[in-house]
Amino acid sequence: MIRLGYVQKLDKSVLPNIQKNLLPAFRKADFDLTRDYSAPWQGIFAGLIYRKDKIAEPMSVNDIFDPKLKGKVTMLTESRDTVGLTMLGMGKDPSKATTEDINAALDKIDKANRDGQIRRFTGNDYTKEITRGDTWLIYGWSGDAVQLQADDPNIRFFFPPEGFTLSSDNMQIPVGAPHAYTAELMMNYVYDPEVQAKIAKAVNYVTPVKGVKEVLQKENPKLAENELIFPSDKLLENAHIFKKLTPKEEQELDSRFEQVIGA
Amino acid sequence: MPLRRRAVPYLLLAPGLLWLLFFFALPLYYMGRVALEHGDIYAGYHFDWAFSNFTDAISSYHEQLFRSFWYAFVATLLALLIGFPLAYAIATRGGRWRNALLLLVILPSLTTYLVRTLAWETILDDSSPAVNVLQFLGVVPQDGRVLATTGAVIAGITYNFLAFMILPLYATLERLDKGMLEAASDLYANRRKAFMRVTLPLALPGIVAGSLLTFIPAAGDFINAQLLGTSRQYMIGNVIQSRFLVITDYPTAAALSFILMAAILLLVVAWVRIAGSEALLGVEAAEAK
Repeated sequence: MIRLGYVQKLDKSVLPNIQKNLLPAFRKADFDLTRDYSAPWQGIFAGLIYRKDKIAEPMSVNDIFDPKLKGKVTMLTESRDTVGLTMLGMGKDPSKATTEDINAALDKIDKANRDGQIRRFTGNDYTKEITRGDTWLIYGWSGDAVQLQADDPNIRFFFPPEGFTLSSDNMQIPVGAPHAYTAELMMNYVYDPEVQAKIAKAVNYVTPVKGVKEVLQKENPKLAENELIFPSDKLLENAHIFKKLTPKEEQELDSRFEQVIGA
Repeated sequence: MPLRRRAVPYLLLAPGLLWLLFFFALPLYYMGRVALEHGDIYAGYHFDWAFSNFTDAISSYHEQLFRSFWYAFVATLLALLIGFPLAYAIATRGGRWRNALLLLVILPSLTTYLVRTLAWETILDDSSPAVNVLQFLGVVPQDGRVLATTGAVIAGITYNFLAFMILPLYATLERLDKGMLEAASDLYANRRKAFMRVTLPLALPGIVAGSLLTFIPAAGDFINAQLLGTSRQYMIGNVIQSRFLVITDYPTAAALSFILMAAILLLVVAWVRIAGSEALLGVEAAEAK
């Protein structure tokens, strides 16, 4: 959208909270290297979600290709997460992905899909299948896992030792918006740690704001210790952001990915 | 006034023609243009008679294209096998319950199509009672599943379009003249022969209409494959949806839409030529007398 010129530049003078409180891990995104056009709303880890009543704790991101789990796994329709996680399992870093790495990962996913290993490719709707027990080990997102786990203690998120991907949902202002200033005030407002603490409690995704953990420590220490919401620096070292692709690379990846997942 | 009288049919036709012009002909024209465009989302698409879009689309997606027609064919056949006895029973044995029974056929259609398909997802999930029974009976292997298989997709399509098969069948069977069957038995036809020589030919217009109403939407369907299937069951509708909305590759999506439309048209014309024309015209001719 930035590339297409649909989004306007943010006025940083209205956004002191973002300047001050945006966590370093979120200071760049593949589509907006300097965060001139966007501010993260919430961060998202993609990793493994599994049912501990059906299988033992996974050892590796590659467990998803274990033939014993044939038809019991799903992957995400979000190409960067699914390809990124698979690349990590192959020992490649998605933040430095080459075309060959991407194609090798896509080949691996394609083969597993043709073999019937992968039950489906899903968006958020993977929650239905893992809740019912139709799937046992899946590529999934951190915030969903926190909520699923609250409803069913058998569902767990697992950070693969090979690494995992980090992305974010973002706030942007379209070109021509009549009240850009008001929107910027809103963005600044949610970067106040007190305000963000309420959001973190409600949505359970990775918070991009500094100082929220401290706010919640008194009120809800259990949540404040949850690494899915407040990742430690050590954990973040293992989080990978997908490389910025050129338009051509991007269309090639998306097109091939859609073909692999069957459409 | 003769002039005014001559204008009447055109005035009566006008609303329909305008409708067709704005909501069929014009969109079709724009779609045809898009299908011949070249470029990408960033640089923009421009029109340059890119007929290669069509050949590329076929070579990339012939699998989903054939699958769509295969699923639609099987679903239509199943709908006929399920729908014919049902329509026949309601028409001949329904008695005063006829309308109530017909209402039951239509009733599920009062819920939206999407919700009905979502309900099937719950009915067919791996640990559902329905699947447990099938596993117990040995129809489905113990570690097997129903959801996310070809069977589930075809069953979903059949279910969703069944009413379109039953209603036209009922309409023709209900008008069937009992006297003809009595005449057949007077002429020493047994019941099977009477059915084959009298009932079936007279029901043919209903069969043709029902199969068209089932086959055409079934071939373009993507909801069933999306919710009840996997990418290994994706039909051409899924591809068009993703090309338009996910990859924003409008020319390929538009070309595929045209290919689907042309293929359906060809199949329909062939089917009507084989089974339909005689039946449809035959009845009209008979009624004209």
